[in-house]
Amino acid sequence: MFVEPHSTVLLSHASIAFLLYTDPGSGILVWQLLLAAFFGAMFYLRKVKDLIVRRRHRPRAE
Amino acid sequence: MNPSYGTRPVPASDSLTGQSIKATATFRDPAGRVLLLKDRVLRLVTSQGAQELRRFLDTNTARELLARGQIVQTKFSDTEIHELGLSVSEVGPLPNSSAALVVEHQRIAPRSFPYEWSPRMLHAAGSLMLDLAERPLEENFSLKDATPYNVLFNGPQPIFVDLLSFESRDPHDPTWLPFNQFVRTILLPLLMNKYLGLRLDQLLLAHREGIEPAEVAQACGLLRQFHPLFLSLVFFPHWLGKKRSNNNGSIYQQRKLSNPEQVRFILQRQFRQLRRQLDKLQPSGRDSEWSGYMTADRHFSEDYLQAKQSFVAEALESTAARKVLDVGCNTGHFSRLAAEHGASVVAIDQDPAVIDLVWKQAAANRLDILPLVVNLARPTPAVGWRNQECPSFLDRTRGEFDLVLMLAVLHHLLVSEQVPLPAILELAAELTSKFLLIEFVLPADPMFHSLVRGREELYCELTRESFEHFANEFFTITRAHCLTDTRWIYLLRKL
Repeated sequence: MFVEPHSTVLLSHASIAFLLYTDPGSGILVWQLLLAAFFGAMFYLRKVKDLIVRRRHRPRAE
Repeated sequence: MNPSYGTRPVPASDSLTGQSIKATATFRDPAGRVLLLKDRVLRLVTSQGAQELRRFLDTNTARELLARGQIVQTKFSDTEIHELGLSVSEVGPLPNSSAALVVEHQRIAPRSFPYEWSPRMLHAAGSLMLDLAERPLEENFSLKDATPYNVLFNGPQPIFVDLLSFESRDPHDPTWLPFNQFVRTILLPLLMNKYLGLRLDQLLLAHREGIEPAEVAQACGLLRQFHPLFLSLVFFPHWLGKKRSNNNGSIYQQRKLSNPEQVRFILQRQFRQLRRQLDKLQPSGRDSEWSGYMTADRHFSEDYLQAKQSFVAEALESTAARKVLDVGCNTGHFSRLAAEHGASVVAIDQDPAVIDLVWKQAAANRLDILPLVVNLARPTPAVGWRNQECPSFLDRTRGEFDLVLMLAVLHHLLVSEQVPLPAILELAAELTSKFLLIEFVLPADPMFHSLVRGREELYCELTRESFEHFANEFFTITRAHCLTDTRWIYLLRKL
């Protein structure tokens, strides 16, 4: 790991920021994977919910 | 005969040869290269890229997008690459010429870049890209990148121009790879603009690939990071990025799910999440020092405005100008007048707040106005690789207009920017191919006086006679009209 001076134009008050070298955007990608995992689980939860709702509304046999 | 895609056909391709290359617009995409000729836009595409492009253009989604003008009109040309007589020195290494094809696109001019857009324009470009990523999902296509440089503005309407960005997607892959790019180039700049008040040109001129969450985290402080939008766009990504700084590459391994229905569900949810965040970042249209300039009673009398408007309307009629540049357009009053007279208008002002207003009104009223955040005294420089990737504003616009409007702007350039009068007139003569409509303001004018701030002696020689003397170096005076004791308006024809 090395330290890279990273000058930024936008940070007018903190003219030089020292950031530990990180893979650019990797945090966003990890966050995206977590979201995808959450949505993936949601897909099955919705299936289970639909199944329960369908069963509830199914007319009972005499 | 090759098919043409879109409602407005691009020109026939039989006269492509012999035109000189003005610029190569892209070189990053291995699947193709864009060449800008004088009036035409060509794309050289590898055979593989062409195959993918044809498949996309044959989808129902592409047909709908073309009909709505959301993607650029396109035609496969009959011309072979070797017929164009291109040399490597002109355009760089070409795709394998025996296998490559020439595609012609509708020309969108002038090109504009994200750092010249107002916040609402960047928002509209982001919204378009989300549409384009999501809508072709059913037909197994999506966007492979999400940079705002793939969008241009045709008047006020955003249009996606990089059709090679559409690729077949793996129905088992739940990851939309450009997610990261979309966040960095669209959402985070809008977030910093909306909550930290930073201008887009400050952010995007220096950051081609957008902003990192770490940079936003540093600028906004810890407390603000607990705002819900900052949590998902800044805090968590920044924290997760730091946690996994000893990268072993595992996050980049492709993930596959067996159920395509689940994959589509995940992708649609991701797009919905991004859409929600984009909606929350809708610019609020803040006021600025200049946004009430035209309506402020202290500035102008009704008679003055009426006389000026009549003169401009008459000039638009008599010159029959089709392409107009409005320098220092403010809230776009005269840009709208020119657009209503049938001209295609580029309206520039240094204030993003007024450009936001002009864009909003032009989009709502479907007026052919392209508003850009450009200060003529410090026009957008050429940026990118070898300073050739994104040409300067002046290189894109020099000689492109029949009529240049410089209304109530000359004294700002003379006094605030300290640009000599002959230099201003010389630049105006470069920008216009025919006419200049300019308002001359004498130093005795109250607005001039308020800008001078005690340096009156610098402008003691600025008279109507001296103005006309310098104007005659580049133009002939076609018409002049006195608006007030201290303001004159001139229609000049280029020599």
